Amino acid sequence: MEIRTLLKANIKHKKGAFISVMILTLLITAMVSAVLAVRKNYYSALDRAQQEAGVGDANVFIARKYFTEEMEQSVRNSSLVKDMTVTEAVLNFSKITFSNGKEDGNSAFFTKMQSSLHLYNAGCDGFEDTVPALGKGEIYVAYGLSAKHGIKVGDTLKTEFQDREREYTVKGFVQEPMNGAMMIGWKQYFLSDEDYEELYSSVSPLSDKDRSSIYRIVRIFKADESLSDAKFNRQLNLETGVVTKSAGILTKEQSETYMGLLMIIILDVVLGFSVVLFIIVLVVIAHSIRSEIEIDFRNLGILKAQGFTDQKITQIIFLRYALAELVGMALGVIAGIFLERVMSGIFSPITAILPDKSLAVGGTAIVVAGMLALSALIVFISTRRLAKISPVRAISGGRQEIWFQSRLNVPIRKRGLTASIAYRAFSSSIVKYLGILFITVMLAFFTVTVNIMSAAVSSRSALASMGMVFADIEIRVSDDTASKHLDEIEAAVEKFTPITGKYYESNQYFSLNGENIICCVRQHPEYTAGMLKGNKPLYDNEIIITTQVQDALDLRIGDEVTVSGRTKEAQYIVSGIYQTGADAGYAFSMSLAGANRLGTEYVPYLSMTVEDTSRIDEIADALNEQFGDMLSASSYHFEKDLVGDVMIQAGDAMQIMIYVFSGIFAFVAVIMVCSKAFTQERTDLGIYKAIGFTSGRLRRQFAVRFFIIALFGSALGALAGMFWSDDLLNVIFSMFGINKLYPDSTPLTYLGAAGFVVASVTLFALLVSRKVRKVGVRELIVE
Amino acid sequence: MNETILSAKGLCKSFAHNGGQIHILSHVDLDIYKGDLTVIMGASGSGKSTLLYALSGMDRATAGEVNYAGENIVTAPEKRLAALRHRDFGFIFQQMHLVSNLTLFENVAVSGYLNKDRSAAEVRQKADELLEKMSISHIKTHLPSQVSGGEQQRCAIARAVINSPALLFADEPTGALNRKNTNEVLDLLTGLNREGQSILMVTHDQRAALRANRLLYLEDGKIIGELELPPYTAEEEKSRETQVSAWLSSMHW
Repeated sequence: MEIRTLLKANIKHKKGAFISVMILTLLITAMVSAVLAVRKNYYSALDRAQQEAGVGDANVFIARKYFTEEMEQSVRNSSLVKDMTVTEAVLNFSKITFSNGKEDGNSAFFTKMQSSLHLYNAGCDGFEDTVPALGKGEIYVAYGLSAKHGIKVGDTLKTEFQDREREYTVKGFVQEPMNGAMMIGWKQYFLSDEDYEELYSSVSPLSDKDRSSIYRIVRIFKADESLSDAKFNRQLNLETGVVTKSAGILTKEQSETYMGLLMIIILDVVLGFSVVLFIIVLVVIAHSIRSEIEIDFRNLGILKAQGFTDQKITQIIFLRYALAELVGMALGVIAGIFLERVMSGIFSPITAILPDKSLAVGGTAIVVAGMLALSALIVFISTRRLAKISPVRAISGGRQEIWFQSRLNVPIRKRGLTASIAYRAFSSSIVKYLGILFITVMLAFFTVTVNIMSAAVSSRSALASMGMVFADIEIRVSDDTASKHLDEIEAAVEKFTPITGKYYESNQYFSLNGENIICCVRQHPEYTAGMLKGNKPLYDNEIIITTQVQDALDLRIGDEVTVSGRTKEAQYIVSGIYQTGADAGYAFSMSLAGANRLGTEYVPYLSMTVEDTSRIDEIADALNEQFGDMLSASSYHFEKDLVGDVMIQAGDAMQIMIYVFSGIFAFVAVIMVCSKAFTQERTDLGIYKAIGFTSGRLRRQFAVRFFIIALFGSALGALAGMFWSDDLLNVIFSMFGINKLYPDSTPLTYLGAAGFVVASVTLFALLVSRKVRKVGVRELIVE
Repeated sequence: MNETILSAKGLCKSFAHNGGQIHILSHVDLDIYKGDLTVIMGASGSGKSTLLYALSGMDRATAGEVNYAGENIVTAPEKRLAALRHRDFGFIFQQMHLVSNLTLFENVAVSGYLNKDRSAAEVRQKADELLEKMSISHIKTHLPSQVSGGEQQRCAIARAVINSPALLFADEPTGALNRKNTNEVLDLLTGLNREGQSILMVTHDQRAALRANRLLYLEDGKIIGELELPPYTAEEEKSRETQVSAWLSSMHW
């Protein structure tokens, strides 16, 4: 009963601390519960969609001429295989041009509409009950294309097939859970039966050199569920050779990774941010309790004199904070429901999966319990000093303020009086300000980290290091004719401006020591980005591998490996280690000269960067005019095009979210810490007023002090960011194949973050200091 | 004829309490004269300190006027009051109220630094002189928590007079001191008054009252008695004590 009475009084008189802790906990719980729910809702929806659409454990894209009766039987009869379905498709290599002017140069599989796929409604926030049959000239496309190219229902797309160009009208977007996400290049396009039959009959079934050919999408289900998809894939290939003969394979696990690639990276960063915020909350709680004990020294002494034990007082403090946290958590879970909807809305176009709408109850409960347990620990540690309060000393007002003759003290001066008094308050009691110092360090560190992440997904060099080439001129060739005229093509470009980078590439699957792995074939391997160790594969017997391949196949630089194409096999030496985001980092690379030994004669993607980017439109037009029969060229305005990119927008949205949350956090934390400092220094403020200081001057003095702390803290945080932010992000990104970030960070990356924290803390301190006006000199009167 | 330095007319001060009002000061009329050491006495709760704070502009009166240099400071804006506090008035508190993280020297000098008419060097020199005068120059780099109550109060006096105020207010300046320190502080105040410093002191300490050349008695928020005395000398303290005691008795002290 006595605890209840004191608890009620405590909450009533310490509303500020109660509300602050509640808000901070609310923010964290909202973020964590939203992140967990977004993840859960995505995976549950993806899993269901994959089952409904019959996505196999291994999905092989293979030319019909290689998928013979014999091959089909050997796969079907393998003891590794439980089941298998085969879908016929027309693979087209020509770029697709949309009516909004956007182009897609990835390989496209045209196939009949499958009844198992869901059709998005007009708002793309649900599915239609039925999927209307397609008419002639109509097409359903994967929802990922909507985000990738900004296309809408009613837009048209056209592309050049083996015999002629065809144009289709987009009738709707479907949820295609195998490779329908924005992050996956290869896409399936769904035609009416009539259009498909017409297209199919126009393609030569045996050619794989023409721009169109007949393919089979083979969905294979493993018999042993305990076998990983990668192992199943490897063993099946060793047994049947189906993967080696294919143009590509996508396992279910890979599909899941790629579909949610960007989302998971961002969610991991947000989760990391929540952890940092929670550490800050613990610091704020500890700081608050220490200040309270100082401020309430006399009252606590009175309670002890009345027989309250340290444990009982600790219980009261703990219950107050626990109650604040519980209220915050409850509200946070509710806020998390809305936040989850917003975040899912941002990610849904990227993953192209319509997520479920539920809470991650289990995960959230575990997090909530963990947060409570950790804060209980902090309360118990922070209240240990209660034992030091002797009732007699406390009641007689025996609290001695300990001020240190700090070596950091500088004399009070007439010039800069406000600043020097503010600095004195700080330097003579640094311990008191350690909490806020730590908070500013953490906020600055994380803001730097977020800035670096943002730079990493929006800078050209950083994207290049992830294997994403953003060239100024993109050229797509349909056969090897263009490769014989490369000198002329380059000369045509250099009439306008010098070429600064040549990214002539193709990505194809080769078998590396029996493992089917994507290989980036580069005609100019000297432009390889993302090298971590060793040398670029300049010679025709060299390859470079990623750390993922290095670990999986136990390879080292200098090792000899066997690489098999569809028809040839050759020995190579591992000359270096590099990184790429292609196939989540499970990839290798070699020169075109090296790939010649496996039968690859040319690369179809000729991308270039040029010196004068203002002329790229003219260059593309000139190339199309001069070499239009053998290639199609387009210009790419990196900055302009990237701004509209949904991927970048998602990154930016998360960055804004983190900035806003940091701002709110700084606001609440600073208000809480400032208020405590204010209460502790109320008498001093009254004295300053009594000797003639104006409220304005005292407000500035108060804010300057927090400015100094924020300056120190932000400098330390930015410095820590300079040393460790990359490492932190590297840990997260390495899960997705990016071992080293090349974030293009500038001094602004660090100064901007530090400036943001300094400005927030100072501004909020200035806001809190409005209370100075209410401090009357009368408070110094002893009647 | 004495020159009036500060005057109050119909000064009232009330506080809201439990939905009602408590009247601490009730239509006080008062003149303070230049060069005087005026002491206001009264029982606990009579409103002495409240009157002092209202007169000094540390607190605003509920009604009435306090005129200083032709200006009613009751209605003066906050900035003007701040300027008065560091240019025209000095204040000594019962609990000293030194800024705890400044040294004794800095506590004195900070007040001087606010005065734009003086250079920093002049302020430092003046602060040193005052600390010397208060016999605490040897501990000027100490923090308040490192010195005795008497030393703190001497520092507070030095702080109060560093800007050569026209009027020095003292609120029970000996209330928190032992006998020895009390005498030392009273000697300092008397000395300052002899040098021409006008002082208005509130006290319930009869020893402090002996130093006054003008005594006022406050009861229930009203001035009910006044006694004028010749300037204080140590030699005639005994006879002064008898006179003051008799007067206080007449006031039902």
